[in-house]
Amino acid sequence: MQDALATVQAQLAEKLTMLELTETAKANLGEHLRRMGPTIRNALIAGALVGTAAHQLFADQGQEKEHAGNATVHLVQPILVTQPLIQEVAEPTTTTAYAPRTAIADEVTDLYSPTQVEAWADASKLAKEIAPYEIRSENAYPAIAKWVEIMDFDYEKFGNAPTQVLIGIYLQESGYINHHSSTAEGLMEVHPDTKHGIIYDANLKTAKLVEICQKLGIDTNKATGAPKTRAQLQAAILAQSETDAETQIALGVMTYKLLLDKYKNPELAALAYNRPSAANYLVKVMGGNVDATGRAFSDLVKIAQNEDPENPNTRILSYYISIPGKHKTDSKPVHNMGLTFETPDPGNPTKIIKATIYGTNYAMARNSKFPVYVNTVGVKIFIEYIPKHTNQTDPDRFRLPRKLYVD
Amino acid sequence: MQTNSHKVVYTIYRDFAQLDQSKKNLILWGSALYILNKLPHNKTSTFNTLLEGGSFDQFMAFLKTLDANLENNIAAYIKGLLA
Repeated sequence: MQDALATVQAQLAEKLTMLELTETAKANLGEHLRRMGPTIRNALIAGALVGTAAHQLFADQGQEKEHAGNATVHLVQPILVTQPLIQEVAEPTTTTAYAPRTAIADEVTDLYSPTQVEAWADASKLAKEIAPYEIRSENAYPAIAKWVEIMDFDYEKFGNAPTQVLIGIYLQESGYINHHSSTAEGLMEVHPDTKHGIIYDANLKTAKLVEICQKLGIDTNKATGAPKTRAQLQAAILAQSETDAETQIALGVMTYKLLLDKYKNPELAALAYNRPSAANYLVKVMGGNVDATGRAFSDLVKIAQNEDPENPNTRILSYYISIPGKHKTDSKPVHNMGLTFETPDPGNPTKIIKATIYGTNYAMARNSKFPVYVNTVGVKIFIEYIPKHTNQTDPDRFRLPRKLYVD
Repeated sequence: MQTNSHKVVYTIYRDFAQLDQSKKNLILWGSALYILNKLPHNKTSTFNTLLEGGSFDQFMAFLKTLDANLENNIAAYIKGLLA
């Protein structure tokens, strides 16, 4: 190591002399490189994982090398796009320097002190190792169950909501699942003790969780700190991170504009702009509970619709269930589904494009009007999701209202 | 069997969580060296100008014109140094 370091230093000094960089330029080069550091480390971690863990994992299971190659794709991509989570592992002492992209991730981060970095490592590790089992497919539950079985899942260590949420966030941001509540729920389903509640472990800093829940408008059990129902936790998670990061940013920017222009509240607007989690700020604007969040989204959509004179005639042509799912344990016919829409391309109305939404939660949809923001190939669409029936085999029975807004 | 792979991944993370200062320096200086080695002669003036007054984003954009897969290539280079 020291030899390599000395060699690099010598070569670097020679290069810098040759380039005749000024002192200012050298200083700025150092500064820029420090900013690149986390990305490089993440790439290193990805490389290390791909080089050893993925191959090892598949080799252990007696699978072909080609599978390890596939795992490479699965492992590298999420690692490189989820720097905040990885960063916490790589540099546990800098928890405030790299804010996770979703509000709830930020909060959950606080649950873990630097000395608990192993919990982060485990959560991230588990999240990544789930990848080879194709969680993206409609077989998510069996896949999770299989993974849990194979990984000899340690519930004492991992069977808690924050870790599940962490895993879920990771998977969601990695694109392996469409919303992370499905992971949490999947884990709960395979572990009977967690079926009916969320938090049991006092070591998880229950008070902190209660605080988070309160922030999200979640009614908690005062004795245990657990959200009273699983649906409430799901509702909160959905409100915070139903959308992907890109969509959240888009929503955040839109929220910013509304707060600034319509509500004349530059302070909140600046907040929303700087930390683009639309749901988070809409909760504040609308009074701070989950139902209000739903209403706030609805209002946002309506406002957007009314204030969008540039796109008055765009409309969704059709929509249908594209990823029908069946709840594993009860009669709820649809839990996790995607809807595909056909809609005219705003830039070329004669062209029909497809737009898809994912992760619509049945309980949420059943109980409220739940507008969903759709971000597709250059088109952003708000719809108001009102399921008319629950017969997933008949697409026509899932007819939704006309679109509300296309950006 | 699974326990082995479990440990491999775990160890990798723990190693990176405990990077010592010399490794951090190697990452920093190795990145610099990689970039400077990539820099063609006819771009040194632009490079200098960017370092004198350009932003980080401009700097990165410039580097990307030299190597679209910059981060991963640097990582591979450093991996070689660390080996």
